[in-house]
Amino acid sequence: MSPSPATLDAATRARVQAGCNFVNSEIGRLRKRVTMITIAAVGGAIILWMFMGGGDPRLPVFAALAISAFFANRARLELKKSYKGIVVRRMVAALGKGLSYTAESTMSRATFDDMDLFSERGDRFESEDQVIGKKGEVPYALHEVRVRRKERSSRNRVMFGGGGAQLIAFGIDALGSRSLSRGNFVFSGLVVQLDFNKNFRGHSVVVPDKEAQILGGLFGESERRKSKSIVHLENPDFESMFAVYSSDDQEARYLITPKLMELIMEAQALLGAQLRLCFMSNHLWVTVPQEKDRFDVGLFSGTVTPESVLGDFIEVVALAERLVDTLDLETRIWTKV
Amino acid sequence: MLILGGILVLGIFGVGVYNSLIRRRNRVDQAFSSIEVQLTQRYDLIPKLVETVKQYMGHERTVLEDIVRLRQKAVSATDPSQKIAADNELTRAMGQLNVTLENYPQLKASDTFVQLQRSLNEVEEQLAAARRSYNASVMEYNTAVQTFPNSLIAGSMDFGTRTMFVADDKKRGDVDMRGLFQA
Repeated sequence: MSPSPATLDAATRARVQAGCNFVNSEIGRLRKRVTMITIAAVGGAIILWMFMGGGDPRLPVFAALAISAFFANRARLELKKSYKGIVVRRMVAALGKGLSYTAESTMSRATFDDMDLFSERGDRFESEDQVIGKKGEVPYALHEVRVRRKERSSRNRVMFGGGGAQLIAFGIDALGSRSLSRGNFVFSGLVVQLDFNKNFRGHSVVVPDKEAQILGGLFGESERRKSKSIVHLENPDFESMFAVYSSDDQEARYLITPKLMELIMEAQALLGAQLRLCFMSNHLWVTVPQEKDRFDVGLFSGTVTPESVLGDFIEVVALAERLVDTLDLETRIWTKV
Repeated sequence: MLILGGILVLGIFGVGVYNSLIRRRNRVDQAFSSIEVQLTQRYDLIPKLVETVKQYMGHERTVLEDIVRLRQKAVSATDPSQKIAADNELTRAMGQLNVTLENYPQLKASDTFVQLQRSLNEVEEQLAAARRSYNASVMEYNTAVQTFPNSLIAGSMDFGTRTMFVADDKKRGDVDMRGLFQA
């Protein structure tokens, strides 16, 4: 059963509320600090511009924005640490149910690349916020992952590598909401690792069919995917939505039964997101794209309440549990117990 | 010169078609051999299962006798179509056995039985995957053999079509074995 606000008793709720109060006071303090710094930076820029005798205002404006963004980003990181370390941790500990949370994720770049779910490798990999739980007898882990690509300007200059543009981007992110622009992401969302109910040795992936057609047809497939062969399955609806690649076509059919094909389509419709699945190391890995950065709080994103924290947590846990249910992973009638 | 060029092009085309038919036929044979591997595992498990459950089944031993007989028939079948027919019969009989076993809840307490049943489910699932793999290869091969212009070469080189594994009508109403695992 998913946790719900009703599962918090009065004492626990009071502890979580105390954590929220602390974070809210931190938000107020840091917000004030950033506002003051921004005012000072703008004022300094105007004075600098006047000293320069007018002329091109771009340099002082850029300097003011960069200083403001730098401090906004520092404030954001400070706030994030308090929020995750105090509020989220307390909430998870209060919920019990065998759930555990860490701000750092064990999902590595190598594991993500090994999944072979994305043809584009991306340039920068970030993983954080790991939730571990169990639905029935099925252990699962969720990781928040972002894989960015370098964005090049018209002069072919790398933008995200550093400098003012990055600071401004961070600053805007820190000041604004928790949603992320997906334009620069190869992937941004949750990676759900589920214990699969059958043993297997090979590597099979289920990716959107459109991508397979475009990449396979025009640009060639990724090197890694070339070592797998495409497996055509019997369900025409599934075939029109997904392409399956596997190192062992018979094993792919053993894993992706006609029933599982139906269930994958059902899970995709239920979650309303483009799913990608990987069968690797006796686990099923599912990527679920999401724009929202969970377990994070922005300087101007509103007051933190136990309900808002719990809401985010419930959504994440419910996602993993829904996948276990929809994909019928609790059925253990094969040799893997 | 033009005629020679035409003959050469036709020759290259013919060799290409012939080789692709050979490749597809080999893939069908390979897929069938992996079915045989799974069938062998199934045939090995059946006597153990029969041995385990016979002490619990008094007057319903005819089901077990049928299974032993059909297993023997399947083991001794030589060509693919005989094997397919024998396998369908055996699968149907196994389905009947599973229905019968639901009347013996005490079997669920037997670790040996539960382990055997899990192994058998595994083999059945692998077998289903192998059959699907075989059917996909057969479909690809049969399509290649029957479509023009491949059919011209296939006809003259004795590339006959292959039979797919089709579940018979009685098998379609097969039982769900997960009932045996529920307490």
